[in-house]
Amino acid sequence: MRKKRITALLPVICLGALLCGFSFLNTVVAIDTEKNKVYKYAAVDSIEQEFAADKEAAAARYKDNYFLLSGKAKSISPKGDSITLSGGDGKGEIVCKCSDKNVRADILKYSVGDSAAVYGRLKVGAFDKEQYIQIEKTVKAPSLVKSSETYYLLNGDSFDGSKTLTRTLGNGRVSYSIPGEWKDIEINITEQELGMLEGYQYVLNKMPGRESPEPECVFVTYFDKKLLKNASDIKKQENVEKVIVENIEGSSDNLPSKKVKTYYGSEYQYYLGKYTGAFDAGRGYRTEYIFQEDGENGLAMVLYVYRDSNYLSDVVFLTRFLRVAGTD
Amino acid sequence: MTACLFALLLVGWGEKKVELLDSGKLIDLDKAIGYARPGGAWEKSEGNQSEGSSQEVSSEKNDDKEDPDSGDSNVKYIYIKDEQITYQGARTSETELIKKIKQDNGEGITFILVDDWAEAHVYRRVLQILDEARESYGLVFAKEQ
Repeated sequence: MRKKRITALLPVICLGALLCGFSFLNTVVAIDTEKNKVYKYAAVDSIEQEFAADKEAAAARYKDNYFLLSGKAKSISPKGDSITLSGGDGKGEIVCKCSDKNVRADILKYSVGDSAAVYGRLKVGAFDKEQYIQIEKTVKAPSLVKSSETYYLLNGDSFDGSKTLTRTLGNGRVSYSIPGEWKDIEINITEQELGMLEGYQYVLNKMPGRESPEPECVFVTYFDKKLLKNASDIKKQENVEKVIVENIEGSSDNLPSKKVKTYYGSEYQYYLGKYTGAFDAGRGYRTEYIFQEDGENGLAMVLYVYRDSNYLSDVVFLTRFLRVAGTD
Repeated sequence: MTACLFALLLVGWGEKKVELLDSGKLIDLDKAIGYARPGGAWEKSEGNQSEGSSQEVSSEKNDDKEDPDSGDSNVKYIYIKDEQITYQGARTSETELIKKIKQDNGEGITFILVDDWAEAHVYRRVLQILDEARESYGLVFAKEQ
């Protein structure tokens, strides 16, 4: 009888444990590349011109990409389910559609002639091949750096792609971009004897103009298979990742993790950990790891260490522009 | 069932544990976090600076600047020297500047843009930001040479 009761309870216990695991993962993940998408700025007339010149080529280039588009409101549908934006000097126009009730309400707050900006995904009609933007959010009074090399997050934070430094790791197989001013907060890990990994630490809370005394860092590194006792073990990617985490924070037991296939084509393995430093008397740091595989050569790793996650946008941009040769 | 468990155990035993060649730290987080604490400092790297296709920001300190905080607190100064933007005495980036302007703007606040031998493209961009902020939410600013 007792045995039967326990057996009956087993699925409930398993489901409970699973739910706990999921809620843990869902509530504390800071670097969520799917939730924090990066939108490229585009002027209405520039997109319209490219489609006018070569519709097929423009569709192949832009279809399903995410944009922040700005222009003037040329027309607004009575229900707010579409707004047509025109470019500077009235040149070009693009239809922006939406289905979300809250966004429709926001669209109805515009008047024809207002400056407007929309975050959304560029779609190309299946039959008429006309391009339009599927809106995710609108900005009422945009204060934007209007450059096609500027990237935005939904919270308004931006990344100036025209003023970056490129860093390469793993004999050039891994590359990423940092804002020029990050040179002041960049630490070479091996030169400063911070560890054996090739790469850099960026001390986010020490950027000029920031006042946070709370340590917050991101590392971009390359783990070469030569760091393994048996180099061929690099094929056992998950085991290698856990060994790396264990080396850095002392344990890799029961780490929540997930595999992510991003909207921009990269894939990575994510781990959520914690680190209690020797000098922190129980006040730990949240750690988040992103591993991107570099074939059988090694692994690119982004590690974010924080307590309050004040500068998450910086990490999201960094992750978005991390490239591993041959993977995208 | 027992056979399955036995087989799984055998597979587990057969697999060798992945090990690092060296027992040293891949990243010493204690030391790294130490650099991020107030007062924590590191030596600037000189080598391995692979510059991208774009310009670098000057890392010169603005030691020759007067202290803009010493005057009226309703006046906020934005200095541009070469390519370096300084807001209220602290070096900053365009992105940070937008955030700070939004944060500090309010009734009675005036922003002063100072051209201290600024690079023209940087000056134009900051001016554009201020113009848009004026148009969008009534920011008040003036230009000084």
